[in-house]
Amino acid sequence: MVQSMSIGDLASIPPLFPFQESFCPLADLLKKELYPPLPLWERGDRAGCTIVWGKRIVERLSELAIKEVLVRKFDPRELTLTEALIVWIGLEQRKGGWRWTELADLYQYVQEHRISLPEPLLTSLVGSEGNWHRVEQFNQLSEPLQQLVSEEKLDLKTALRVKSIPPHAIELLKPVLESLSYSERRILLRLFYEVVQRDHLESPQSLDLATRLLRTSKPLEELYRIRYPSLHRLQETYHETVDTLVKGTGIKVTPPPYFEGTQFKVEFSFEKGNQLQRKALTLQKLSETIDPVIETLVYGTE
Amino acid sequence: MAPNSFTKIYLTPEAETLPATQRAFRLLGYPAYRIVDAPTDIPQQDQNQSTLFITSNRGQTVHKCPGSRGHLCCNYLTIDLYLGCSLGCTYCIMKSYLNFSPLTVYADPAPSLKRIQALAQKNPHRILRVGTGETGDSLLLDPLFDLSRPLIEGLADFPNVYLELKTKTTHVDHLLDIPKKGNAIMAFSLNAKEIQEQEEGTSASIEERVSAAVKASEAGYNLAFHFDPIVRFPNWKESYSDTIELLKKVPAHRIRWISLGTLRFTSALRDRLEDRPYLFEEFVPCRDGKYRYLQPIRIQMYKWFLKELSMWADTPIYLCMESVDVWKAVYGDTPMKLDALRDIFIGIPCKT
Repeated sequence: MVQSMSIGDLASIPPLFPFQESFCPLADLLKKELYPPLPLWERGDRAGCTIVWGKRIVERLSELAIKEVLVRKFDPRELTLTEALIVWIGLEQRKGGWRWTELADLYQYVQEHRISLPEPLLTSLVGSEGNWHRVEQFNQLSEPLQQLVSEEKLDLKTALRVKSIPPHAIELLKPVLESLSYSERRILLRLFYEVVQRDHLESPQSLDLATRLLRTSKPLEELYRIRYPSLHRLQETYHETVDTLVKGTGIKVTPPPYFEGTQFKVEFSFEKGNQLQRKALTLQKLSETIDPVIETLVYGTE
Repeated sequence: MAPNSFTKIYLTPEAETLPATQRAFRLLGYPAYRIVDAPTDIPQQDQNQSTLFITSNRGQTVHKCPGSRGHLCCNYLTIDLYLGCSLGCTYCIMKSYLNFSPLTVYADPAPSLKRIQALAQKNPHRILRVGTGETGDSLLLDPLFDLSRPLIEGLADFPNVYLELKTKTTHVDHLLDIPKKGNAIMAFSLNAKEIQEQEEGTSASIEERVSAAVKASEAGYNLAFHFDPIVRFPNWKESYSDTIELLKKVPAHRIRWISLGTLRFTSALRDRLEDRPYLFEEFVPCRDGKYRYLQPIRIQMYKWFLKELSMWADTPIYLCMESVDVWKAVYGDTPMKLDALRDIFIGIPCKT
């Protein structure tokens, strides 16, 4: 039954659910008085009422000095807890856009109270029924990873892959992570995780690694070096020999990608014969020294 | 996994009366089954490797090995008898596309046999290497279905056909009594003991595989061995040396070929693989999009294997899915220019 109730009385009624409603349309709702009669749920045994949805509206209406508002009281025979939750989700009127943290709260509540949400409702929450388990996966993440995912700074798939990184190390890495692009952030966390796994790093050693990255101006490059030491050695060898020899000559020598293959590419341009002669001299010098380098880079012989 | 631990069995109508199906059902104690028109009719909850699906192959039955872009392929012909495998190797390429499929048995080998016979007659001066281990283990389910037998018997009179049955099991006993084996080859995938124990699921131990190879050779079979995937880990040389040492129990003159292939995977497969220690080595993308160890490292590994194996067996040893550059670095040339390997790599000049 719809009835009128004083805001003062309503303000003292606790919310039924331990999560807060969304308020995007609140201003509109208030202006146009479009909000529905606020649903109240009687707990039985004279334990009083709870507000199913609209706690924030009540707070706002009290600020606006409104005295009374319409409510609709339900007792548990009229509205089960599951139905109450469905009402709550329905009144939210969201078209997607549920935050991970909100979904995690909902998920936890649903599990605790053994509530089974109908398929269309799950679809409205997470896109499809099959995605509901992703909320459970989100719950398995450490707090700093949950934060990155809920702030859309990291995808869930990567977060799950790297979830065994000690949380303190991620906390410590935060300034580095903030400075990177989305894809760089994914790569850095993935590499960090792989180093932790490969080297069996315990928590203190993971913190040491994070500290080392914090102290360098190019953390991603530094981490690449640690993760791919052999490839890095090849790159260093190449840099110290070929790159150094052609530096400043206008000649560009490109090795095969990742030293996979045997074809090196030489590029240069010239305008006059003497320029060409200078390039030819450089190339002559290069040709006299490059064979042992090639042996090391692409054949692995020392 | 025991070969008969299926939770559900589905058949297409025409497979019900096939001799291979009848045999398997007899050995399985006439289990319950359901008839479906197509694999897509199998309910979603049964689309997994615990389900057995028996059908005849309604499409093309013989294929050329798909090879790998930018890498040399040995022009192997493949017959699909078994699709999928329940051994559970952690590195299995089939994980990237067969995880949610039932184990499938193409229980009518007759069309494949006819096709290979026709190809062999048409190319009498070419060696045809044919295998059933491309999409599944050749012998894991074979004691139940006995599908290798008609192929061995039907190809025994073709001197240019080498039928290779590739396995990680010891399931050779049911094939030992075949009187005319022709050039049939029992092939065993080999690895370091540690890798077998930790990464190759319920496969037979390396000792057991070698014992099965000895048994097969004593019954008159040719043999082949595949070191694939070769995995780099601390003390890999010592560990693979132990496997090579074990292999010396096998009569070397029976070995028709040995192949070598280092661990490789697509990025899609990498996403599906659970994290195993060997995946934290250094891998780089190659021209076919697959990830492999750094080229200099692969070359050194292949050279080591070639040296160790050549000291003992005078048999063709080739690389599986490797680049021209690696071939040249390891062998000095490409296989088509090497007398010992040309016949293996030449393949047949026609469509399958």
